Amino acid sequence: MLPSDWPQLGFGIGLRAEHYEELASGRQPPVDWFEAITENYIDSGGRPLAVLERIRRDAPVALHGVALSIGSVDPLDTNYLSRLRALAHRIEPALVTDHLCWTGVDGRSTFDLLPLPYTEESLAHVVARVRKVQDALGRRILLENPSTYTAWRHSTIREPDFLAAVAEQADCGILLDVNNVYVSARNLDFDADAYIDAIPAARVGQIHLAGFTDMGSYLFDTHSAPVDEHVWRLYTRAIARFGRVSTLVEWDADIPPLARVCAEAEMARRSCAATIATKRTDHASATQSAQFV
Amino acid sequence: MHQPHNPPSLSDLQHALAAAILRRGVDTTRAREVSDWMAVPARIDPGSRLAVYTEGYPARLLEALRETFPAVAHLIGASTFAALVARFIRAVEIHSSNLNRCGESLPHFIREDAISESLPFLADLATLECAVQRAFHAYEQPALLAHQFEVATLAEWEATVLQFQPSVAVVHSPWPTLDLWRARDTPRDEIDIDLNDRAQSVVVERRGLDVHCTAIDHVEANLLAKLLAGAPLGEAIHGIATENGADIPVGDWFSAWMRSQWIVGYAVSPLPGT
Repeated sequence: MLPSDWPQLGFGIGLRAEHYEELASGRQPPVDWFEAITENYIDSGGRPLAVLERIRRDAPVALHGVALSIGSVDPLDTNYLSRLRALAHRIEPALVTDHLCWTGVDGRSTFDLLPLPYTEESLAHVVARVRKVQDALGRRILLENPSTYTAWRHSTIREPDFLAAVAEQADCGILLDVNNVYVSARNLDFDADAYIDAIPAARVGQIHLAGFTDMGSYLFDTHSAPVDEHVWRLYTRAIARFGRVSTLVEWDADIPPLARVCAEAEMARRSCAATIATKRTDHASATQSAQFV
Repeated sequence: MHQPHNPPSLSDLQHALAAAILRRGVDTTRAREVSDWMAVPARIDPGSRLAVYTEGYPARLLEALRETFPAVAHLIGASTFAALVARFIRAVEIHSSNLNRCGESLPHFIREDAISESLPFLADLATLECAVQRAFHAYEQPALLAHQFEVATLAEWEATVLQFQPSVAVVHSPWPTLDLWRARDTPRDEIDIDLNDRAQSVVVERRGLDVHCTAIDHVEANLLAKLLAGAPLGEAIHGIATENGADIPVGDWFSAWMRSQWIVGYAVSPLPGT
């Protein structure tokens, strides 16, 4: 699979209720696409769905879920999958995504994205379920690396290798959350650069950027702040490795006016363009040098 | 990585961590078990990292319930509301995987909770806010047009069950619930609502994408509640007439409901002998 198999959506922002009024004013914000949290629309026939449909008329939309619970030992929730399929049919999203995690067991949700142990048992379990989900939806999905505050002692596979193995074996995509890589790396003392380098480029269909909160002894993935400078640096590394990938800025708490969030997406656009231009210059210089050898 | 002697299965790990989160403070054994399986940097206490997850659950529910029940939260104040939610989470198993729906059993919980002794109106106010939330998300249907309502005989009319928009709900209360709901944006020290002998019946509906709450006549509310519960017209009207006397303007109410586009269909239940 080539990277170009994934739609190139450009630079987008998360669709949030705090911005509905501004978006309803009719002025198209300066972003290329939007990402909607699936669960905010899957059970709603009111204003949220009307806003989403209106947005979709003018721009591509990705559906980003938090309740698939792909790693749970519970049976897959076929009712949820049916409703997700119906929403996808209605919205025709460019991408359908969720997280590499589990959210609950025995029919009860913790409303959190909980870390999996990265073992052969988990790998077989997740791969089988991704295949079933993709069959049920009639399309491929992308899984996002979660932000984590603990790993498990019995894990035998590094997270990026696990994510890559799931993507290869289940033939799904990767939504690489660069902020989550940085947050988890700081929380668990691993090398964020090495994580990016271990992700198979052809599987990356989307990138997330967001801000975190420094809690002292750990970084908390709050999506309540601008993208941190360390995350911008990591984003540059990711773009240099993966090329131009659809990029989205998430801002979920202490949400500023729409223009501020759009400005963050514009920064991603410039960062991406500069990285790719630098890479082209480096490549041209290297080619030129080679011709004189 | 250092391997524990008996690594847990995926199922064991998930059940233990879920118990530590969902039964926080109740099932401490599972939390200790989970801490033993955690891999965190040497300088970090595993318990502090486990707390990120165990404390996240009540925090998320509190935030979600505050959004669903803004009037209840405002009237009783932030700390009392947080304490109420904490009791709710300990007492009630929430099976929804959607945070928008995690408060559906809160009105019933409030009714049984000690807080209702000092604030007896609170459960009805929570019921109204639940109805508002359902109306906000409801999938509205095309309204029934007058010429589509074809009932030939009186017997059929009496056996007719009306189908309403999913957003329409009635909340009847011996308290001024609508006034209390409207006070959600008033500073608490400026709220001055007479609670005595001020029963209110409130109808919740959607007009376009906006949710409206309106006070209606108690008898109309009673009839509407019976019909929303699925009672046939005859049974509902006879019941109301028995309770309130025969002179009730059912025709006027029915016309108003049609104009408001609350009725989306009807079914004639099988008549005796057919």
